[in-house]
Amino acid sequence: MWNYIAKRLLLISIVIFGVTLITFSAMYLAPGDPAEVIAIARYGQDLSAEQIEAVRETEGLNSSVYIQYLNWLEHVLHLDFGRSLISSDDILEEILLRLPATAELALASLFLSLLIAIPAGTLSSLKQNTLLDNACVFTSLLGVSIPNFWLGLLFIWLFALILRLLPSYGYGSLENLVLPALTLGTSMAAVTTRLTRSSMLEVLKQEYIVAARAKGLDERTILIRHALKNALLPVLTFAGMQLGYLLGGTVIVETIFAWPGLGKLLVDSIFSRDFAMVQGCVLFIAVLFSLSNLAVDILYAVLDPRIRYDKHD
Amino acid sequence: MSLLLVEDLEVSFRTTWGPVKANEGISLVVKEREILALIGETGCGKTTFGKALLRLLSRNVKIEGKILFLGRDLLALPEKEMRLVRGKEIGILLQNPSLSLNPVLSIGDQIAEIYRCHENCGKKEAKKKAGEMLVLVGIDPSRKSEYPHQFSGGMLQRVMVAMGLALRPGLLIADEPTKGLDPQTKQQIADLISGLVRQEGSSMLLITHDLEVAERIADRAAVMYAGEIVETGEAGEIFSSPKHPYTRALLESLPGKGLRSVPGQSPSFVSPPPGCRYHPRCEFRMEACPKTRPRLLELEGGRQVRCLLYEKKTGDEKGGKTRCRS
Amino acid sequence: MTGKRLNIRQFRKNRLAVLGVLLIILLSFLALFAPFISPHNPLEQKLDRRLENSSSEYPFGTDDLGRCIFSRVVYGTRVSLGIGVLVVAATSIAGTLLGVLSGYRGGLFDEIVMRGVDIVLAFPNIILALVIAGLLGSGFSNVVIALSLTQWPVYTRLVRGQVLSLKKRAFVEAARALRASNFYIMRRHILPNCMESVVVLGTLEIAHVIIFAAALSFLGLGIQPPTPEWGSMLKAGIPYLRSAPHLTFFPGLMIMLTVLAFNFAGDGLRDCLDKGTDREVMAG
Repeated sequence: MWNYIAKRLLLISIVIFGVTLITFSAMYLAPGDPAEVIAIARYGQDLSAEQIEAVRETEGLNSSVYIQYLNWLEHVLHLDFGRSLISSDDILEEILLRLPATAELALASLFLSLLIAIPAGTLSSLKQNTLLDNACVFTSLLGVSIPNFWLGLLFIWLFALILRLLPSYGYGSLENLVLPALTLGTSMAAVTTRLTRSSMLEVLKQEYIVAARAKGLDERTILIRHALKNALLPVLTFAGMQLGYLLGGTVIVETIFAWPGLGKLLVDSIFSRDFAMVQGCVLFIAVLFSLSNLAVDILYAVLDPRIRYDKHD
Repeated sequence: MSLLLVEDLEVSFRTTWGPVKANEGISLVVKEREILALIGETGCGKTTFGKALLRLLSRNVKIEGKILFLGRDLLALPEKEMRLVRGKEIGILLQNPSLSLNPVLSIGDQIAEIYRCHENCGKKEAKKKAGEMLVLVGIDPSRKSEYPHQFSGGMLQRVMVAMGLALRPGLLIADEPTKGLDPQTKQQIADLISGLVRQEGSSMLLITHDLEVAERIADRAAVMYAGEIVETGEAGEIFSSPKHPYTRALLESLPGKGLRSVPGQSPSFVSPPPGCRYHPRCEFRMEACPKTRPRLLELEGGRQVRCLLYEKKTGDEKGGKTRCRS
Repeated sequence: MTGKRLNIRQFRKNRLAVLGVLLIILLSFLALFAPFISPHNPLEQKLDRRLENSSSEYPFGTDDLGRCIFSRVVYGTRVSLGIGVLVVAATSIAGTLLGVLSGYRGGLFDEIVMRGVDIVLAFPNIILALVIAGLLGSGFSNVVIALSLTQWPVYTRLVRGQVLSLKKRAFVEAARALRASNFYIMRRHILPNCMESVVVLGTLEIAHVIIFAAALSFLGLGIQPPTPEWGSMLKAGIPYLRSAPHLTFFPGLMIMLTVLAFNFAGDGLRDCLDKGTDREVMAG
């Protein structure tokens, strides 16, 4: 178990190192002289050559790319993500300021999706090949195929503009959370429903379900204790991995609903060409995603006794 | 006095090739305080029979006939009452303990839940009883919080026995309890099960392809071939003087008696051979065998045999045109 | 999964899959014959005909600049299918080759490729494509580049796994024993056996890529107006959500139908591959 965690930690550090490389070099994808690009971002289009040189000096763009990378990496390792090119705010501070909103949205969506998916998938598997099951399968395929930016607009149109039940944008109250979470949660619910269904079907075929029935247990106990407990293991792992999907999805949903989270910060920074902020956001999201995947794997090991007690990895 | 009386049981699977009969016209008795061995090759329909008794087969299976347990027809019981029969009145050890135990529940929990469900025990009480059951089957009760994958095959079978006998059922169905075990463990497990069953005054239906185990613990035996019973009788008599050619061939496959495997392949259920199902592999095959379905003949001493060889010897006048069962 | 053959008859029995294929054919038809199908020039503005509802002249109404939404939606098929097919063609070929090499050769090469896969997949969902597209600047080719750079690892991972199991199979071992060249073994034995699952994944990936591309355009980082593209049409319709919801309704519907078509088809293909494993076996 500890071996396993150590091995995973080593792998993850390699991955994160690669992530910093990509994040850093992405900057150089932007056409033109980086010093000029930064200067434009900072001072606008009307620049003097001195201003560009000054930027080159202060941002350390004189030195070779490798030195620049190592400098940057050293700062990042000390949790110094630098300052925004536009507002000069501390990047990490800004990110941490935005994080709670994104976390709130992501967790609410995750919760909502599980709330829909687990009962729907279970019911669907128990009534396999009935009308209800087919409807469930069809709806979830439909759900997977609806782009969430369109779904978000449909929700705004229906619930905010036509029915006037909920606010179409903003942040702060529970009412504000409903539509964004529903938008992000439903497409995830669709995938999770399918997974729950297939996982349940697989488990229901197992001999230990027959054995539980042979012991004379009632159907409820069999379903909850024996079937669901096994079937939900992959579902929970998947839900954990979906955190990444959620982090990506927040970019779009936060933009639609003007939700002041990390995703919106990233998109806004891309538009204002605040590369330092883009770098910081992307790095932060990727590391967060990697760590959450690790956490899910460990949680899985804790939940599944077969892995928990496996001494040799 | 018969505890279990099966009459004309027929089990058919609905498949893409149409219904396939896995059990046909099975009539069998298990008396009180008796161990009956149901013997046959792998794939002959033994397991299906065992599961059919407790109605544990999947929904696409049709079961017809009568299963009378203490006079009640189990096939006529509503599911709710059937549930109370399972575990409490009839216990079953399913084949392959490592698949039949839930991997994510501790073995103690898996035994305790039987008490919680049937006897409305509290958690503590149920755990205590589970511990006692473990002692009974020879497992250190401190291992009750361990999980199935931490046990060896023989130990898992002991856990299965503890579960099967937890409520002291009147009948225990044991499906291949010694499969995949080494010879020494095999004997231990066989002795453990038969010892506990006899100690409780229960009966057992031992489903096995292992003739040595059957000979060791069974009172009576029934031989199954291709979904049909082909011979029944006292275990001692069957093993000492087998009547059906198939039983003979089976016995010759024993290590002590030549280790000659039964020639040919077991027939498929989808297209069983016409007439006597054993005729393609039978060394006493007669002209009539592929044409006539033999019936189960009563011989003296409670012996039954399904073979045309014995049709004339009993002096049955209708022997020439034997009617088909079912 | 390896060694199983696609069963066309089984596929035909799956109604959703057939529906998916029919939809794909219809969409391809729209894309190919867009000039003949659309009643108007998709770029032609008629400022006196702004925000009109459906009529016989404008089947889906007009947008805020008086352009025919139906014509724009039809032309949008070209962009979305174009991006989907181009990206999937590029990534499936590159990803598959990397996967085959990586799985077959193993060793340091494999290690490097797999870490590369891990690193790219460490950026969740659309984030990396978003940043690349954002930095490169908008436009058709930049969207294709951004999505291609981020979507190849899925193939590599799938194919590598298959190659690892194929390597142990008898026919590969036999070919090796016969001193067949590595190139020959990969081309004749390994690659053909991976193709079916790559086709399934590719079909589902087209759906993914189309959504991603539309999302980029929706955020303003992909295809720019006035080029008719569904995602950017959605974005342009937002201010008119209350007064003229048809501006956002039809482009969104088209994205959904297209994605649904590829998902149906891909699911059907996958089911065909999976069949044969779960036939009920009668126990003895």
